[in-house]
Amino acid sequence: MKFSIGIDDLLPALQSVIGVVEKRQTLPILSNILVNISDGNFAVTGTDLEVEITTIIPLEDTSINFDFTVPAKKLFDICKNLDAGILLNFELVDNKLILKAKKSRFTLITLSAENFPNLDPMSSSSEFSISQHDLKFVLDATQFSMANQDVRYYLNGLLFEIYNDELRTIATDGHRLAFSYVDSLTNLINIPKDTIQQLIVPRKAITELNRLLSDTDEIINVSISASHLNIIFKHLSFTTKLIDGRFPDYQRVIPATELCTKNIIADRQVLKQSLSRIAVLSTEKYKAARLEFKENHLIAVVHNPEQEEAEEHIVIDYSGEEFTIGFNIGYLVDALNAVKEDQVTLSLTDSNSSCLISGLNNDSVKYVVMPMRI
Amino acid sequence: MANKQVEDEVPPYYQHNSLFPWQLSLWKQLYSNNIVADHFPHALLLSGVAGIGKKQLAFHLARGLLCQSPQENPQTGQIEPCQQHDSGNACRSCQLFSAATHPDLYHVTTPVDKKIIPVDDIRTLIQWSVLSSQLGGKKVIIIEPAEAMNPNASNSLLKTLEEPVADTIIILLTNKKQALLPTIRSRCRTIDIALPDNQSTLLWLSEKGLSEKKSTDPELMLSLSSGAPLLAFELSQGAQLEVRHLIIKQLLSVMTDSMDPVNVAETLFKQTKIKPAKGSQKKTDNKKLLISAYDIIYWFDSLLSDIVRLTQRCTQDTITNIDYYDSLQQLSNRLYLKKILQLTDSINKAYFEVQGQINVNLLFEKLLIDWKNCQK
Repeated sequence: MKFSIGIDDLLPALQSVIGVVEKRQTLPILSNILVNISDGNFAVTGTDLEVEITTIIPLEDTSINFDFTVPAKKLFDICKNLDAGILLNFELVDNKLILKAKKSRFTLITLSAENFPNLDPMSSSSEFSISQHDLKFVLDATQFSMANQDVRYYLNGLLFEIYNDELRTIATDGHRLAFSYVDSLTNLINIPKDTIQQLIVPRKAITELNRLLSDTDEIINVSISASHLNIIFKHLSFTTKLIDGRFPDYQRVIPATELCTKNIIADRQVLKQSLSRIAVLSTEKYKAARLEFKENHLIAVVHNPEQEEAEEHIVIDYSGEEFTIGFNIGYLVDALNAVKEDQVTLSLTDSNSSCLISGLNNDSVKYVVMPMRI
Repeated sequence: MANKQVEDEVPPYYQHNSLFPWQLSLWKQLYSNNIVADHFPHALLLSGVAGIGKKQLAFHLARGLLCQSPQENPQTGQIEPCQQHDSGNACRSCQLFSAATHPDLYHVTTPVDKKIIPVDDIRTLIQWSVLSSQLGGKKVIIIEPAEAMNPNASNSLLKTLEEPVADTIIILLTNKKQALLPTIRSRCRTIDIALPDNQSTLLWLSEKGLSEKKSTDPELMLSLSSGAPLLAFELSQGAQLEVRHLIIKQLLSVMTDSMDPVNVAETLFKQTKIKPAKGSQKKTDNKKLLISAYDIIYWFDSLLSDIVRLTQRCTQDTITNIDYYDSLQQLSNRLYLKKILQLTDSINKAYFEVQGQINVNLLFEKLLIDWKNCQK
């Protein structure tokens, strides 16, 4: 069984897959990648049992059909060090893979493909299409708020909510919450009208997915089953398991804008830079800052246990009674980073309630930050 | 051949696809009945003495829970996972199971060369357990031995053990149930696996090829392993029998041939110092039997217990070392019971002492001199 493939096609394919193949694996076979050649397609699959990525390279010869698994890291390192543009010959003899390129020759041990725990083709319950740009937007806007190794395991991921042609993403770690949505889903299949469908995508899958997405208008196809989420790119298929749990009711956490009595409008860059500056002197763990809101004027103060102190005076647009509130300054800066508008609104009811941050006249992203007692 | 090499690495309990005869009724109670009702406890604690086949049962149970098409096995009349003899028809789940690459099975055990399961291993397990299953069926977690979890690991497991996500089953194995935290025990459905009766075990052992004529007499094996079938079988296969004969002969020689206890202690001590032979062909070399200090203490203990029993007019079928009945019977009349009991105490201490930094040679000398002094 022989075939050949250009290194310029193979290397990018391996590069996309190698990311999920971990060095330390519970099952030895997971350090291998599955190579499957059928119907004129050369497919490479890597998995860590959480995320699975398959890349497909079309072959000219459509008559070959076979599969095997081979150590991922070794194959990748070999390909990486070969000259660009050359043709790599694969030959499978007695469970050994013989690679030949120009004057080089490598023999790798393979494992049986049927023992590789890759996913069976998924029977999806619903599907939709979205542009890469839009998906990247909702991920970037929320992913930093996901919890990390929290005992509330359902927080260690990003909630996808599908409602008609809207895709909403929500992330929270219990101290702050990020919400964002796009309403540009197309080709809806099996998505019931006016019904909310929720799924929690694990943290690791989000990081991996974000790596694959680019800021283009290319349309990708997303399908969902009870236990998996699958995204089909042009030559790549990304599948992840889901977290089996219920996400808390986030709607109750987001304060209604019309109920907020204190509305502040500020210049995003100025506010962000001022807060980042004083954050230097805040305590490492809590990053507490005291914000004193006065007429068109904000004073932000931080202290640390070494008795050091920083203070910033910021011009804002605010009229109403004066009040003081404490926040974790890191959460504020994260939110201000993620908002794209030049002007941001901060809405609060009193000094014990959470703060809603969003772009001026734009509710496609919302951030809720809980106050701190200082 | 590459494939062969890999198959060798798969631990045998992944491929063990049948039940031991003494597990049949338990299987019916645990699996067949539950799978029909589609109702299974979310946490099981399998408890029983070593060598009774708990691990095989747990893995068979896991295979059965994951199997996509369990069916009745005509030989046993029980519902069982896909049978290996028609492996061509085995479902995808059973196929992956046999290759030890099943994505919905998580096996936690002590890391190589360690005696405890660290908390990090349990945390990784918990993270895995909340993800959806890959094949769309159940997920099974096997933790063995459960008593190897240190207190931190046990405590971090509690929340998951109490309420795992849907369709996730946790199986804990232990042969020291009392060593588990009560909070762990109370969260599991405990299944105490009893020793099978001697008659059926003897039958099983003779089916396995153990014959009365050889040195591996089934009754002796069973007696030496206190009734645990797999332990008895293992004993008959390994070098442990020869080790035992050598140790007992040396011990008895102090009494019967009036050997100098200090010399015997040194002979035994030198035996424990033999390093494992490097080439595998040398393993069969009788002169280089590998004996650990623990073995010596274990068989010494076993010998003394028998002597104590015999001084109390116990009959042959109540002692462990039945092949040495005659010599032990004679000896028991010549020894002070009180001194033997004192020696037994020292031996119990020695179990712990040899694990630490003790001079093993001196320990043996002391024990053997005491042994000599037991004579009337």
